[in-house]
Amino acid sequence: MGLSRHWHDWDLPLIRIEQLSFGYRKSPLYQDFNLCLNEPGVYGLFGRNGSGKSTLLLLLAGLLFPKGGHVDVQGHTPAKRRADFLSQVYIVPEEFHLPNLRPDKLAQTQSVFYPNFSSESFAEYLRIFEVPPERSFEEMSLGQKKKAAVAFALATFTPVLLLDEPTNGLDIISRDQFKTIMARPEQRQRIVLISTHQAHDLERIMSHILFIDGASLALSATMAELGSALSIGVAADAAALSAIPDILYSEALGTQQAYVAVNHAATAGEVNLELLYKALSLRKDAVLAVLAAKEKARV
Amino acid sequence: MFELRRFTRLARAHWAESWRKYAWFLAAGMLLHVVISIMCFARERGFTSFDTHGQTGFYFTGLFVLTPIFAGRYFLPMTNRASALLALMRPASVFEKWLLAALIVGVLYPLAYTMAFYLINVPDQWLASGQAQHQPAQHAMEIASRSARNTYEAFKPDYSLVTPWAMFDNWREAVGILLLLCSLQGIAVFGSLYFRTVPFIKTVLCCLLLLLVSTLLSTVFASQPDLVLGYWGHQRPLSSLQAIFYPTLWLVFPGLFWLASFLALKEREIAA
Repeated sequence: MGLSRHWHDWDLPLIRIEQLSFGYRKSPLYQDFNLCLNEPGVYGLFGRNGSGKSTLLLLLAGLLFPKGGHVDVQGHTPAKRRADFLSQVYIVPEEFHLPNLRPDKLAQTQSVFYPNFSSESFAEYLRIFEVPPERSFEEMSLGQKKKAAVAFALATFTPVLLLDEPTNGLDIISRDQFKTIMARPEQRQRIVLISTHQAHDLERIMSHILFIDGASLALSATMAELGSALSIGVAADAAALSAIPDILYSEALGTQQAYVAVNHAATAGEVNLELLYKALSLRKDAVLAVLAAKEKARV
Repeated sequence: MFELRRFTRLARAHWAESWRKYAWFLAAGMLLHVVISIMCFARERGFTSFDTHGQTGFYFTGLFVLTPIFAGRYFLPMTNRASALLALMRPASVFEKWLLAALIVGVLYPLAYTMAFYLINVPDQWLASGQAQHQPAQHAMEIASRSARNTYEAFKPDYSLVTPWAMFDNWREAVGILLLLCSLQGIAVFGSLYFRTVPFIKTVLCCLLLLLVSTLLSTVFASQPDLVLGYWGHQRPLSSLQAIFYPTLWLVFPGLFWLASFLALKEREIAA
């Protein structure tokens, strides 16, 4: 298991959504929504409150049924919730539940459903998260339970893993522990879709960014593409900011000025997801135009 | 749709998570039985409550009160978004999850209830039987009081250990009781899956409504208010159409509710 993992053909991660429409009662949430993820990696799913990030995860897990269009995960229609589909997808919702068991008992009774589950990895992740394995979940704090739930999810090694706000409720050390585990190579051989508002927390581990806005997928780009198209940084003051060409978004940070601008350099820069998120939320069209131009130039 | 190995895993995981809950439920039922027994014995001539008819009454009252409650609690996690998600995402087919529920609610719980009943009833019966033998005066009074109601019974006060399902006068009554129990279980399971909020109260209200409608229809169309509910109780003159309709209704009714439970589980969604 772990580093030497080899996927079977049927294990190859794949998510495809075509012309999805979905809404709650009379308010539509998705109209003609399309998405295709066929490369393993850690995908960050961003969007404003109410943009439908959690709903998208539930649709992919088969816990909500589309009103129209087609959702395909690992060659399955999630809404059918077939047993072989459920063994290839694991979801950790923001509000999660764990049965009142000890972690070892949880692994013993639940791991049998997941063909790629690694008991060694589970034990290791619990150790990294500093979760006491001898305690039952009822005796743990909320943060400890969340870490145990995430550790189990990560150890299932399902080809598709859906995490909704996984770092909510975790302290700073625990967030670092989560990033340490997520950065491990074995977690990069599956599709991990993370819906989060903690953009700055997780940018180091993400390989791909998805931004939902206005009922559709506004942006889908790799971190490398974003870094080569955008220059994101902090200028010393307003005068220094005015010297930077093609500013797309800026904000004051005390006397300093944080900015998102067009990257004219040949090398890719660092991506600050928090600033990118703000730029996308407030100046979406300008940011997308730059990315589109860069993509066109690259092709 | 069904794989025995996966079903066994599902049952094992369910048992690991739920056995405490089930043990507490049975223990609470047994405690209630003990309290009622003590209250009965505390009365003057209290042992008379534990003749074979009394024991049968205890058994079926407990069965009909506790079984629907147990059935309604099986899918209680569905009322909570987080625990519903865990249950729905468990890698087993909907049919396997439904079948496990049907086995636990319909077969295993009644068996466990019967065993728990005997654990309390054996000492009750033993105590009552002993008191009846050692208090001939009271016993005679009991016989006398009964003779006014039922001459045959008056000379047959029996304090032996009862086998409740063998106490029926004919097979029709046993079938009727069994079908009624299946229907109540089906309704309770369906209600717990169909209603998102306060499922228990809503299910009870629906049952009362159903009872009212059946009584009303029986009164209007056959002038026999107890025709539907009391169909299996005793034979009565019925038209050939009615003779087919009522048993069919009784056979189809529990099946429909269990089928509806399967569909409710299959179509259950979880809103974000």
